[in-house]
Amino acid sequence: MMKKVIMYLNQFYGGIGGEDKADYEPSLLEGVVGPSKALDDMLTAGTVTYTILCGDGYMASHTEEALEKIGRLLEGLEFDILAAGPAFMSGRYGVSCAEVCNYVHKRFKIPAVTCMFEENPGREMYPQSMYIMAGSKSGAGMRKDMPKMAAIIDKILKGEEILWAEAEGYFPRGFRWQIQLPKEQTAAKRTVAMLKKKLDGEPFETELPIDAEEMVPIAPPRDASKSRVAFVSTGGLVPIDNPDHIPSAASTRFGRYDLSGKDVLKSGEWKSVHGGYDQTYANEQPMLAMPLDAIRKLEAEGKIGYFHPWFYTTTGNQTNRVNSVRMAKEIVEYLKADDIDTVIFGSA
Amino acid sequence: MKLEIGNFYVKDIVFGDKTSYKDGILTVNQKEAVEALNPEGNLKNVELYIVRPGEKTRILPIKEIVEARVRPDGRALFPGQTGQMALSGDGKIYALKNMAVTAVGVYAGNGDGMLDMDGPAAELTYFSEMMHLCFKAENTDDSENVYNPYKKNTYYRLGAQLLAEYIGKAVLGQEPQEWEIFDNTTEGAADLPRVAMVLQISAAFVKEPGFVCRLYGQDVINLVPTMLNANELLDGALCADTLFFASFKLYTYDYQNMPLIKELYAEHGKGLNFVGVFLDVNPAVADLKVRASDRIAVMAQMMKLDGAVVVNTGNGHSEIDFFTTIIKLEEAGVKCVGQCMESPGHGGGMQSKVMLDARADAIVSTGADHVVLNLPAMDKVIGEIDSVNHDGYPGAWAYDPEYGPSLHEDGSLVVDSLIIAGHDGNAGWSHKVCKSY
Repeated sequence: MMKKVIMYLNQFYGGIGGEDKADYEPSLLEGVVGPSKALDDMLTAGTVTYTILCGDGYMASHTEEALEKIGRLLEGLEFDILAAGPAFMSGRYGVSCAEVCNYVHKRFKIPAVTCMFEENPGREMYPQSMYIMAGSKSGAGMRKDMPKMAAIIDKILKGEEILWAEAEGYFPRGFRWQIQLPKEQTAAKRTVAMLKKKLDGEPFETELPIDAEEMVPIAPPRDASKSRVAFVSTGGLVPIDNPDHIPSAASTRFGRYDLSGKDVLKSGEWKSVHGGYDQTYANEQPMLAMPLDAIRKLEAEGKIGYFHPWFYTTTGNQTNRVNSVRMAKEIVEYLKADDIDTVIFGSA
Repeated sequence: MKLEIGNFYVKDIVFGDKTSYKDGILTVNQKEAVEALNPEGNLKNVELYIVRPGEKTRILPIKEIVEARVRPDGRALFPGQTGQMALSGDGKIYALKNMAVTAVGVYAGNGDGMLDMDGPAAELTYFSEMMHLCFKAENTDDSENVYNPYKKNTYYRLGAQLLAEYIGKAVLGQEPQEWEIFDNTTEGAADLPRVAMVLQISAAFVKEPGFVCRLYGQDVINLVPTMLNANELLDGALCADTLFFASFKLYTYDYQNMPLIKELYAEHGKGLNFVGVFLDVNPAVADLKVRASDRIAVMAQMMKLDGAVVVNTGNGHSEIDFFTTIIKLEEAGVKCVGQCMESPGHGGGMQSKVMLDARADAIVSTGADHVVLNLPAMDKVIGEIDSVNHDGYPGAWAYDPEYGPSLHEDGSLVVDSLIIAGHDGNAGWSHKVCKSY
């Protein structure tokens, strides 16, 4: 039973026209045209049933409307995967492919595959929403790129295991996962072999490629006496019975505890569940982890404009970035509701 | 130094009247063995068990794993720890292969682990490929017979080391089946690139001694990075901590058998001049982290190193020590290859390490330390299965909104691989690697 593929093309590859037709609004063509015909010819596990056509200019200037319109065009259709491109080094087309793949993947819960040159700005927009095959710089590479798309689409449609990025030819999507090597390829052997290469000036390949980190700028100083302040911590301090079961490591949740009417946190009423430091001090004196007495003093002296009555806490130990960002966003919603503009961030 | 390890292969272990080794069969007198491991009565309800690969047996909570050995010249197996201080690393020692001596408790803590001898978890660790002579016990002093995650496990650790030494005596007077020679006076090495192994040990973290590694029997809580002859490490100078999590920690067995040292020795005098081991530490205080990495870089320059293998054995803030040390060594002109486990999380989508720095351009990955494992029930449990119901282990839980409790009614488990002893193979055993997806 052949699976159904829908393909997205821009106005040029869809045969609508060149730059003069870049404002072409999304339409749905039953069957194939140009690249979608080429893909259909190559696929063994699927057939291209429809081709979505849209002008690059329209997608760039009316992104939300274009995506919504594509969503409506696809509503009610049966399909198993979305293909888009290849977009080569064309920035607008690459961004369009990434936008459409991300949107359709999320709305219809189906996989999406595109292809572009490594420097295309579309490559890094939504890496986890799609497979982006490493493609050619210009349209002359169409004959090289299309078989790459067909190969991975066939694998996905057949339910075969998708190997790591390098093995399959897609750009890494931000996941790391382990594989087992033959037993004799121990870390000890690999480490010493890599060291010998590095010492000899021979090329070697790290097993953990490291990119430059995404930095968040530090907020400028502000007048605390006019600020609305909250305290958020990854130090793992919780009420003594740990009512929200905050774990000692790899946390996925935070606790939110009412400080109204409290001037101090007492030993025996609070404890640390953090598995990454010696909890003895915090258990003896919880205010080492959450200095409520000092905050109340600053509040009384007018040095803090307003103190938010809730304390937010989780365990930072081994807690992953994805969960950290999600919890931060959830906490921010509570803070926004109380017009908080300053957060004291405590850690372990 | 020249260390000669004489290996005796053990085909099976049985209990019997006289502790002895004959035709590959190790016979253990249980009464004597219990007396040997518990000389001062600090443990109670001590029971011995023999566990073999392939048996449907689950062992937990595991406190320590040691290779059974003995010195024919009478020096203590772990100098300063199981007997009088005497320099290790030189001379002859006998080792019993295919087996380990393993301490098992009832109440779990941070550093405790689990082994399955069959099923999917058995394929994830070399410790499931050997026989275990286990003892299960409780502390006489009840203060650690509780589910506090921080346990010193003093008498379990010492008990395993003493039992290993007692069992080792069974081969005295016999000729080993093979010799492994570790000689760092090898001629011809002098002109080759000078290389050291920088090994992170569990050295800091808590204010009280008793949890971290022991160097010649002494707690290393305030250790300033120091230098060892690699032979000392293979020969009982260092004993394991009870803080680092079971998947990534190095047990005493790992120090005694460290594949990275053996691999560096294999190249010694051929492509490298392996000059020794630097012990790196993981203090919780930033200034001390700076001091530690500075010390490593200074020692490297004094030893005129050309290259170093830098081994990460703790995660979280210990990864800062790992990267900082590599960066300072590289700045000092020492070419480094790091070896570390990664923590990409259950979905694989999180940053692999707490700290990442592109100056660490040569890293070997030992795999992922957070893998969710669904493990079938086993026919037999050595230790206490209820220990997973108390949040004592980093890799098991009494409650989780996504996975439910770790222990199911039928005895099957859902756990994080953090609980599997030796899962990450950080001593160099690992044949796993993380790839980008």
